[in-house]
Amino acid sequence: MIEANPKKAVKILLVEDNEGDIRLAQEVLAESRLVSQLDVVRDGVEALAYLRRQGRYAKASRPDIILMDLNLPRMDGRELLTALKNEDGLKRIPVIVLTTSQAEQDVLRTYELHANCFISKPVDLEQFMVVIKAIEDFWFTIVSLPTSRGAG
Amino acid sequence: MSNQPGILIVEDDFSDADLIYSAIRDQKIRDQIHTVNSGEDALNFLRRAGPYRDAPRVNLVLLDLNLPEMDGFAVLKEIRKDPDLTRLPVIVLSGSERDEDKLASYDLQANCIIRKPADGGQFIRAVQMIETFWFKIVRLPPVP
Repeated sequence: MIEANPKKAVKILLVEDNEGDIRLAQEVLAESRLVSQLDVVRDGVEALAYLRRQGRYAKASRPDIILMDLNLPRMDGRELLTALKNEDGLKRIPVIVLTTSQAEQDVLRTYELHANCFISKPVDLEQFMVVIKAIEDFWFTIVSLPTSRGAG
Repeated sequence: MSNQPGILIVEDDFSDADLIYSAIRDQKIRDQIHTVNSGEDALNFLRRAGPYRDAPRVNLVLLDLNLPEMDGFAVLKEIRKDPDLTRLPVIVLSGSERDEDKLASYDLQANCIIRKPADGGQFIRAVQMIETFWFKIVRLPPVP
């Protein structure tokens, strides 16, 4: 921990359609003391409904951070990014793009759409855990998230 | 996962700029650090304007909010408006404790906000965590 006062636990929205990756992220993040909630939606349309609290997501809480894949059914990650980075109230939520894509085109496009960072999803299990841990160490400890209060 | 580095530090406090520089552990990254001490110079550097005609390209900006005349918010706004710079990741390093400043930075699409720890040792550790995350885990846009 970089700061003396512990952070409020973080709420995460995971936008991912690969069940294996969902399970893995759940396993790693469930152990974390820094994470209080991990909700999962499986495509861009569901993600927007969740974030806008529509339909069955009327009582969804506002996530502190969004982890999302680029290749998603119905509405893909690029469309989802475009929608939420142009919407007041949603655009300030940090978005971490975690994708198997290695294409430079995708990296450039992702930053152009103002994702907060682009991470290539490692296929190796151990490396995947390293990445999730690194996200935790950086985003949940030293970054001031929009939703954290006071000295956080 | 490795990135070709190029960092611009925008910081008017020389001791903070020096601390950031010396906290970076990887010599290859350290060799690619450039520092300017005003918002105007930052934009000139990034646009290779005026005295910065030969400035190297960078793919990460560490931006202080509290700068003389043109402040960090104005710099961020200009970067995001400029089609040649809009995708450039900007990490805001701020001494401000105000929630409004943090929210305004996120609304202007800063990539992340980090409060400068008052303690020197913690500041160094924060910079090293930036180094690890942004150069070992993240894929930055290539240096153009």
